[in-house]
Amino acid sequence: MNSTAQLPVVRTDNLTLYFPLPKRRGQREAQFVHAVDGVTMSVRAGERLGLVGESGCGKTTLGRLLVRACAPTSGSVLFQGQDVSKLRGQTLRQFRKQVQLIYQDPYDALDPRRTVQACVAEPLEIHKEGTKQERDERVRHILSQVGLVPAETFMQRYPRELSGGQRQRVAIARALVLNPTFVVADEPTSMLDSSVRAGVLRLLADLRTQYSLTLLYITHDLAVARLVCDRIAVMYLGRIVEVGAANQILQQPLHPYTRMLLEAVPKLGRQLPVSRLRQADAIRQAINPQPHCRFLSRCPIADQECHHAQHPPLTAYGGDRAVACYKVAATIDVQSQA
Amino acid sequence: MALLELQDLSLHYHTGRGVISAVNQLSLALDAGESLGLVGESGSGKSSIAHAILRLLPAYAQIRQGRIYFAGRNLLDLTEPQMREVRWRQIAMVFQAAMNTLNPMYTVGAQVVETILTHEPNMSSKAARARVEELYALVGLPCTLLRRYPHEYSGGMKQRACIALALACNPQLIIADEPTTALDVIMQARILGELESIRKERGMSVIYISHDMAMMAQVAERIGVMYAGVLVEYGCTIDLLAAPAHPYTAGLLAAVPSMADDVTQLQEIPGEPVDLYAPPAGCRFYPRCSRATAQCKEQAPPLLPCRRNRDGEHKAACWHLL
Repeated sequence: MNSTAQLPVVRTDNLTLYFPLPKRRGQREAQFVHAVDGVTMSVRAGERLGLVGESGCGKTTLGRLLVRACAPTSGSVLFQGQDVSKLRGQTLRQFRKQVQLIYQDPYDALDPRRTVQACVAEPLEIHKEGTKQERDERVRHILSQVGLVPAETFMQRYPRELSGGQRQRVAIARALVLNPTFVVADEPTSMLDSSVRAGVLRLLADLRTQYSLTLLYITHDLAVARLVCDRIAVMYLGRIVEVGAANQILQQPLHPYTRMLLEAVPKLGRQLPVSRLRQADAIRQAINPQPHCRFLSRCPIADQECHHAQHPPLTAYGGDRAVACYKVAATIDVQSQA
Repeated sequence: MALLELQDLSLHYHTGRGVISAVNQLSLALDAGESLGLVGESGSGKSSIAHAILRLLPAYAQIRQGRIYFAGRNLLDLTEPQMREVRWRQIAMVFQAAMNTLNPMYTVGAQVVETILTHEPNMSSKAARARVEELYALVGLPCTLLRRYPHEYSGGMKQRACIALALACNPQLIIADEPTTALDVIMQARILGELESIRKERGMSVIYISHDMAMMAQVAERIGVMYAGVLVEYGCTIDLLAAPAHPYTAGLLAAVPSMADDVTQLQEIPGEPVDLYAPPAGCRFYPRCSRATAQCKEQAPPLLPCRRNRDGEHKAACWHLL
């Protein structure tokens, strides 16, 4: 793939979202969770970008910001060159048609009182697409596309009559029925059994080629990202710490956090490294964070310099790659020796 | 002698839509100090087994037949007061969805203390509190969190608190039902590492329940694979991973997202999980199985030792073993 030919579908510029915390008694300053903190990134046309990080790192919030499911504190999201926060009326409706979100939990994403047909036809009705007959036809078509065949029998069913994998397929059908250009999939397989997970992943891959979709795939599992994505962005406490081609990131992770994520991927036939839990390992939230590197307290290679410097900027490192770490040069040395 | 032995256990649920056979003639044994993994997808009956062992099944469940021996006693014969002695002091459980296990109205510390005092009424509340602090140190939580409410805990912290709760009365057996499903990979590795080191230190037995083969491979010494209420394969983890005998086990293994360079696509098991109201006659897996024949459709295969396995420990229920 020629990377220069790929224009960004979505671009963010210094995107930031702070959530205020309730004030406790005796507290002087207001506290904010820095869920997304100065993210500048782009999603290229037709690519599958993986957004990887632990729970609480802000990956879901970032995904929601991109489709304007919530509004940023500062910074902007550009969709095909337009600032999405400035969209109004007709242009906003057009935007809503072109971007879709697939949720993590297929049990919560569907209205239990509506049939599959009603669920999937709803986006078409909202956007006043075609006649009743045309809508029915499109619902039938998309259901067979997502592997719910024969579509007629599934159309009359209710979500409770479906298995988890089937529900997620309905949710995907609902997201794709309007032919969107950009889809954010937020851990669409984490609630599914492993035996059906592979099928849903393959479905997403097939549909992407058919519908020339651009996909942002949010997950905490690098092994899944590897199979689904062309590029991977690793996020830690509100910041992108490393971004690059998927195989590059996995074969030569440069950021210490990426390496940590890679080591945590369970591998068949390997015994678990038995280690004492340390309190320092607990999940952190970026509440009024210090100015220095967010990863500092967990970083195995941090030194004095890191303690005194600001959070490292995301710096280009050869071709497509960018890393936010002061110690990248040292990492590369070690890897080339080994 | 085995610490826990299930013999020929069959369990049904009576619901408005009909009868579900959730567990079907299942036999299993677990030694003291051993870790066993029960793997299977939703509805395979693995959680039902856990609830049956602790006799926490809902009223519409019925144990049709079978015995559950724990330390030589059949738990199904015990009276409810006798069973209360067993629960938590001998067998404890880490429930699925830790977020729903803790009462939001009380501090977590108070709940752990209450658990200890309920099951060991002779203990002073001061001693109980000291025990809780030890437990928190053991699972890597700061004691300051004891005075906090569940909503102030993150998912990983709640899961650790639930493990502390399960360890509260020094049980011989812990049943961990999907202990890490809601957690991300880093937290999963930490929590499992922690549970395993505690198990080895204390010589406890642990039954892990999960649908995730990759997770099981890391912690369980023996693995039992369940499909639609039937134990389809059982064996030592190393053997089972190296040479799965049942097509379903092989399918589950191929569905694990791997970091190996030669794996470029995940394999799925075709078809949908069994409708338990009307399970297929014969082998319950045959509609999804690539090796199925007419025999599979008619006769349910028994769980028999695999031929290639010398000590007879590796067993599988299939007419066409891999």
